[in-house]
Amino acid sequence: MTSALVPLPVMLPLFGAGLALALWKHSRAQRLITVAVLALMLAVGVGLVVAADSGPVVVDVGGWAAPVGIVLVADRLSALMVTVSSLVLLCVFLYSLGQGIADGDDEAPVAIYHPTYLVLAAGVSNAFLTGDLFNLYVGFEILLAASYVLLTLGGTGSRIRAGTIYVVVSLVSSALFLVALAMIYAATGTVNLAQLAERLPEIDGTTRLVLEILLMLAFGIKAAIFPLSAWLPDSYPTAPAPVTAVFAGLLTKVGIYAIIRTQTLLFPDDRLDDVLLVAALLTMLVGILGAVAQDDIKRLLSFTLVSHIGYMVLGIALSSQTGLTATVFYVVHHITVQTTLFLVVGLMERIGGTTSLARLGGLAKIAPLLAILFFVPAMNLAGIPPLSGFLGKVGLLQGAVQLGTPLGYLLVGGGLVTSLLTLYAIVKAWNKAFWQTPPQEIRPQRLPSGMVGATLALVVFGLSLTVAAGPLFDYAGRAAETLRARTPYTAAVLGPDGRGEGTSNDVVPDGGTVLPDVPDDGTPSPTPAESSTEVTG
Amino acid sequence: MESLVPENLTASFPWLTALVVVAALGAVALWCLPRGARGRVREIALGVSLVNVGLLVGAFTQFDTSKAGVHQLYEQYAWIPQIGTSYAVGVDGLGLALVALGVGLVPIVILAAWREQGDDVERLRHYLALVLLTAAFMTLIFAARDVFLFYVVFEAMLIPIYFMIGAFGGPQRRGAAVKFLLFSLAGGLVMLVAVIALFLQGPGGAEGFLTANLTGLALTTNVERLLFVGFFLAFAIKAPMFPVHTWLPDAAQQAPAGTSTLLVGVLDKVGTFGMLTLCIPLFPSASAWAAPTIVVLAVVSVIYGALLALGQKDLMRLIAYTSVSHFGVMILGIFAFSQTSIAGASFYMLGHGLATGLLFLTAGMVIARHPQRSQRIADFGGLQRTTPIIAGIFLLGGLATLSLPGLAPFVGEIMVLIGAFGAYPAAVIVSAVVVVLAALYILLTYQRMFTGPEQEHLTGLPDMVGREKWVVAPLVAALLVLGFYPRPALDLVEAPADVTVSTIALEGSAS
Repeated sequence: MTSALVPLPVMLPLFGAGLALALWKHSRAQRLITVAVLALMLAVGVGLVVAADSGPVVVDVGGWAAPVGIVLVADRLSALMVTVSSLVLLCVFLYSLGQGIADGDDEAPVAIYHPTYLVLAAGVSNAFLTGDLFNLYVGFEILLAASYVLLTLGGTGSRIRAGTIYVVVSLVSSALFLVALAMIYAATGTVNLAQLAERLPEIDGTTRLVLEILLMLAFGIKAAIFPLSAWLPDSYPTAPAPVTAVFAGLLTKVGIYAIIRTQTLLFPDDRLDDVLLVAALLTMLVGILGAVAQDDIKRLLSFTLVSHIGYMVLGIALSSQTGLTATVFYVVHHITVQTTLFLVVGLMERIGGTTSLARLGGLAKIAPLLAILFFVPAMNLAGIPPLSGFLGKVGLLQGAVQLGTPLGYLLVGGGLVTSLLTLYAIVKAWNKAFWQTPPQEIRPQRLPSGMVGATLALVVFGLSLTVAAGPLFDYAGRAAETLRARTPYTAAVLGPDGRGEGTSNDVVPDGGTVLPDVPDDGTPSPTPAESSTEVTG
Repeated sequence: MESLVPENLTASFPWLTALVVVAALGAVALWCLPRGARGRVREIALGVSLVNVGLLVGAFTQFDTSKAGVHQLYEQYAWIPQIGTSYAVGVDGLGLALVALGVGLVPIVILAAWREQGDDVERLRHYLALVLLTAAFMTLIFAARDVFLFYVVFEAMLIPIYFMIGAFGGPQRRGAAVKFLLFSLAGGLVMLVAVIALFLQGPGGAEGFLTANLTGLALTTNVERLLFVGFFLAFAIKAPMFPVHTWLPDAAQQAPAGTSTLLVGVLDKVGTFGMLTLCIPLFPSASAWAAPTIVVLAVVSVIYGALLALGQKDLMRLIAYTSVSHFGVMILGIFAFSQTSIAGASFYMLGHGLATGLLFLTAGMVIARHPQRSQRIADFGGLQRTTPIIAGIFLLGGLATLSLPGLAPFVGEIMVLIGAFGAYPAAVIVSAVVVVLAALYILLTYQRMFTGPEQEHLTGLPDMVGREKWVVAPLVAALLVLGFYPRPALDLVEAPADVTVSTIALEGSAS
C-alpha cells in the first residue's frame, strides 16, 4: 500500500508542471497548482518517512521487475531528503509568491517560472528516490535543465555570465557522470544500484577504483567539494533570492546524497576515504577563508555553503556509524538553515537595496523582526549550542576523534577553525548590516507578509530540528545503519530470488553466478535481456 | 578506582529548575510584552528577579549544610539520550553559593539600570530581558551536573552577553563584543573536543555525559593531560588569566556597568568554578602535574594585572585589570591543593563578586553624572564635596577589592595565602606584596577623582538618590556581614574543598 506513495514525489510535480504550462495564461491557477503539488509532495514525504522506518519501500516502475526495470526506492535517507526538500521547496515558493505579489507584476517572473520550478522539484525527488544509477543521471539532468532556466530568469548581463559558467561546469560534470555510467555498464552489465552492489565487488579492484573516482569527480563538482567548488560562489549569488536559496539548500545536497549513496552501497571498501578526508579539510578551510574575505553577503554565504559541505564530506569519509549518522543529521540541518539565510538576505536586499556589507547598516533598528530572522539561523549555522548545527557538529567531531589517526585530529582542528571563522564571518556580517550606521540613509519600508511568513516558517522549522534533535538523531542513526548494512537495500530491491516484483524474462543462470559471461578476450557481453530493456528511463 | 562522587540527594521540589525557568520566562515575557504594558518593564523585571530571590531562600531551606560536600537539590531527566546527554542539575555548597551570588546580583543590576537608557523604554526592555536570560544561564551553569549541559550553557551564555556589550555599550562596543565572543568561543571549541574525547573514554550510553559517570575514569597519562589542557584553556580564558585575559579590559570598558558587574562578578567565576568542579575531579593527576605551571601563571596574572591597573586612564579598564590580578589569587588558591586555600579561593570568589560589583556599579553612577559620560579618570576631580556618599561607597568598594580586613574578600584572600604558603611560599610572598602595594591603584584613583579642588563642569552634581542607595546597600551589607561573620558561607564551601583535596590526595597515593 505504502509503495504507491514512492513515485508520487516525482510524478506529481511533473504532472503539475504540464498543467501549469498549459494554463500559462492563468497565473492564479498556476500558483494554486504549484502550491498544491508542493504541499502534496510534503505530505507524501512525511508518509514515506514513516513507511521507510520499517524497511525500504520499493516500486518496480511499469511492472518491470528489478534489475531489468527501473526501481524507485525510499529508504530512510531518501524519505528524509524528499521530505526536507519538499518543505524547503514549498517555503521558498511561497516566498517567491509573496515577492511577486508585492511587486505587482503578475506577468513576471513570467509564466515559465512555475512549471520550471516544479520540474526542478521532480528532478530533485527523482535523484533522491531512484534505485538505478542511470535514472540518477536522468534526475540530475532534469534538475539541471530546470536550474539553467531559473538561474538566468530575467536575463541581466551578470546573470547570463554567471549562468554560462554554471551551465558549462554542470555539463562537464554530467559528461563525466555519463562516461562513468558507460564504463560501469561495460564492466558489470547493470546500472541497477542493488545489483551493482553485488557485482562491483566481484570485478577487478583497479577498474573499480577508476569507476569510483570518476563518479566521485562528477558528484564532487555538483556538491562543490574543493578543488571542484570554484564555480559555486561565482554563479549562485547573481540569481534572484528565492532561486539562490533553493539552489544553495538543495542542489549541492543532491550531490552529497549521491556521494553518500554510492560510497555506502557501491564502494563500501572505503579506499577513497583518506582522499575524501583531505578534500573535506580543504573544502572547509578554503571555503571559510573565502567567506571571511567577502564584502557581499550573498557571496559570503555562498562561501560558507562550500565550507560546510566540507563537514558533510568529513562525515561520509569517516565511514563509521557515528560519522554517517551525524552527516545525515547535518544535511537536514544545513538544507534548512542555508536556504533560510538566503531568503533572509533577499529581505535585507529589499530593504537596504544592496547586499554589499559596506553599504548596508542599521537594519536592527529599521526592521527588528528581520534581525531576529537573520540572527537565529545565523547562530544555527555557526553551531552555537544548543542549536541543531551544534549537535551535528558534535557528532561529526566525535566521529573524527574516534578515528584516532593524525589525519582525524587534523580534521578536528580544521573543523574547529572553520566553526570559529564561520562565527566570525557571520558576526561581521551582522555587525555591519544590522548595527553599523548606514553610509547612506535607508528608508524603512514594509516587507511583504508572504515573504516574511515563509521565512519565519523556515526559521521555526530550523529551531524545531533542535527541539526534535533526539528523535531525529535516532532516525538518522537508523538510516545510517541501513546504509552501512547494505543488505536491507539490496534485499528489498532484488528480493530473495534476485528479482523485484513484476515481469521479466531474464532468469538467474543455474549455478548462481550473477556476472555476465566474459569471453576469454576480456570483452564482457551482457545477456540479451539486460541490454534490450536497460535504458528505458 | 572507586568513585569519589557521593550519592546525589534528590530534590523534593525542583528548586534549581524553577530558578532557571522563572528567569527565562521573565525574559520571554519582556520580549513579548504588549505595547500598553511596556511602561512597566522595570517593575516586571525587578519583580521576576525578586521572585527568584524568594526561590533561592526556599532552596537554602532545603539544603543540608552539614552535607555541603554532596550535590543536593538534584534533578535528572533524559535530554537527548541518543547522544548520551541528560538534563542533570544539583549543587554542592560551592555551587549553591555561586547560584546565590548570581541570583542576588540580578535585582541589583536591574535597579542600577533603571534610568540607564533615559526614557527609551524600548531599549531598556531588551536590556532587561537579556539580563534575565543571563540570570537563567548563570543558575544553570553553576548547577549543571552533566558535562554536555555545562558546555551548552557555557557557550549559549555568550550570546546574551554579546548583545549586552555590543548593543548597549560605549563607542567601541561592537569591536569589544566581537573580541569577547571570539575569545570565548575559541576556548570553548577546544573544550568541545575535550568534552567529546572524554565522553568516548567514558562508559557511554544514554547517561554517558553525566559528570558522575565521567569522574574517576582510568585514563592514560597523556590522554588525561591533553583533556585537562582542553578544559583548562577554556576556563583560563573565562577566568581570565594571563596571557588569555586581553578580552576583559575591552569588554569591561565598553559594557554598561551592570553588564560588567554580571560579567566580572559572576560569569568569570565560571572559569574558576570549572577548574574546581570539572578540571580537578575529572583529571586529578593531570591537575597535580600542571599545578606548578598554573601557579606561576597565576602569580604572573597577579603582578601583571596590578601593574597594568596602575597605568590605566580609563576607570572601567582599571577595575577590569584589578580583577585579572585577583583572579590570579583565586587560581593560586585552587591549585595549591590545600583545604584552606581551596576553601579560601571559593570564599574569595563570593567576596570578589560582591566587591567588584559594588565598585563597577558605583563607578557607573559616577560616570553617568559626568556631562559627557566620560570614563577617563583625569576628567574627574573634587567629587568628595559634591557627592560625598558616592565617594564614600566608591572608597569602600575599592578597599573591599583590596581585601581590607573586616570586609568579605579579606577572609578569602588571607585563607588563600595561608593555605598556599606550605606548597608555594615564594608565590605567596610575591602575591601578598603585590596585593598590598596594589592599594596604590585604588587610593591614587580615589585621590584623583574625589579629592582636590572641585572642577567647574562638575559642580552641582546630585549625590546618590534613593534608588541608587538601594543598589549599593545590599552589597555593602553583604560585604560587612561576610567580613565579620564568614562562618555560614565558609560552612558551604569548606566541605566541597575537602572533597577536592581528597580527590587529589587519593590520586597521589594511587600513583
